[in-house]
Amino acid sequence: MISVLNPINSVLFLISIFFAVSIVFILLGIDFFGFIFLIIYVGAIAVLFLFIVMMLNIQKIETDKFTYLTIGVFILIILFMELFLSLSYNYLLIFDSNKVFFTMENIRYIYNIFVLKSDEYYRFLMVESLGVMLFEYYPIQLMLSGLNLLVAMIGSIFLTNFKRGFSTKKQYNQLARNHYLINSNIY
Amino acid sequence: MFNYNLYFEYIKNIYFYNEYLIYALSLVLVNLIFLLLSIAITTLLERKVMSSIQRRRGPNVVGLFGLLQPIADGLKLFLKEIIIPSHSNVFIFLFAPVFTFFTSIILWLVIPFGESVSLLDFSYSSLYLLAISSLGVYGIIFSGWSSNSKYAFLGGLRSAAQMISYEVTISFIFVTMIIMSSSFNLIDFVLAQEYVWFIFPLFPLYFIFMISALAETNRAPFDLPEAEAELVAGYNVEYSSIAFALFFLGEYSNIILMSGIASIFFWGGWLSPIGLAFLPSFFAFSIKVSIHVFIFIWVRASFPRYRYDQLMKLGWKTLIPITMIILYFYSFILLFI
Repeated sequence: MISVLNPINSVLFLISIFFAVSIVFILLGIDFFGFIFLIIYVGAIAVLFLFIVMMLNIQKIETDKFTYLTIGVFILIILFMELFLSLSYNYLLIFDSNKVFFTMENIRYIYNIFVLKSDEYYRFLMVESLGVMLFEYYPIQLMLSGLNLLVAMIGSIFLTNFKRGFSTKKQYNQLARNHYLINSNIY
Repeated sequence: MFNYNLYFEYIKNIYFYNEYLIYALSLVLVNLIFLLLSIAITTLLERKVMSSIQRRRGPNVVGLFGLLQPIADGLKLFLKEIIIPSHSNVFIFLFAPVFTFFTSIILWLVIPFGESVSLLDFSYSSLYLLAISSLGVYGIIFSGWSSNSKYAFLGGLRSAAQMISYEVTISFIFVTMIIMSSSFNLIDFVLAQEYVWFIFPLFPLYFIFMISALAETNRAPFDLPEAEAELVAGYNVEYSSIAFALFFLGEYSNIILMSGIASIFFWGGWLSPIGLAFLPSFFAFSIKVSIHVFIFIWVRASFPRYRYDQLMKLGWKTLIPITMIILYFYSFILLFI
């Protein structure tokens, strides 16, 4: 079920989800991933999403409610089952079940456990071990993933290059006044 | 399972943390007040320095030598009416300036003013700076989009494209600093410069950092988002009153922050030069920051505006390759020599 019809608002919600995920990472004590997630996803990828959504002339999204609703509820149930399964096996469940979840004391308590008491050296060791894993044990996989990005970059340059590539730019569509009446099939 | 030992410890700690919280909040409040004061002084300084460069008097009526001019301006702005343009997205329209101001002030949490003088000291403070400054783009994009005006929209798009392309350069400079001091912490950046300031080995990088700081804060000669001839005033055309004031405060806070980062990275932060070690630590830091703010204003008064394609070419084809080469060069030296 799509409740947000304006695509800009949905991008805004996507950004807030990225932000929340990075905060979850930071609360779990893996600050490095939290900040890197924030820099890459919120600082770069979501900005590009927003640019494209603002440039495209999308007025309305199809409002087919029930197919999305069923799939969404199914995924939600699986996610919650997974969450409670993992919580019941770990010490992650630190809340008193009689209390409301997010009181100020609970937040302070989480801060106490995960931020103040975790060792700084241990955190830096995590970054170092990540680097060792990437560059000592999986160098080929790292280079392959870099190649993946390179292919995407070359492809986008080829698509926009006018002289030596295959340009998909349509000058008429950008300049003509009522072009969407003529080429209405692209929207 | 519910962990009772941790819970009892938490009950013990409640009282301690209440006192600690009040102390921390008062520190944050004092910091915020002095930050706002320094922003006000910076706006006055800009007008005074530019007027003296252009051989005229500048503001000299309100207060002694025009010292109360920023307060009068602020008061005037706060008393104006908030105008909301028709068919605009009101929530995002009002959210954008608040968000810009918010991101520009929470960046000051991690800036060290002395060896143990910073509001928050944790091991990834440089990553925190990068992450939060990349969030600052959203305020500008949303303000441009939500005001339902073509000028504001074009200004917002220009400004956002400029900021994200120069952020890449700044991130490379951050990585060079992280490699040079082998830490993510800003305090360790300064402590690594105890014997030689990084300006001496890394002078070209300082030059590049100042250029990209000018572009990142949308200052002249890169003030294309508010090119008066083409777009009326950029992304904040439709804003009035306190919303405009929040944009203004955020912009000047970012200028002072960039000056602070430049002095922490290259001029040794709070470290005094040799022979002047008896001075208090904040004194050296504030002198360095003031000199950088003066450079920002000096550049604005001296140079003409860039064209937009020149700006993009400078960012992507000149500065990023140079910073990458410098990064590889210094990491090679640190690894093998």
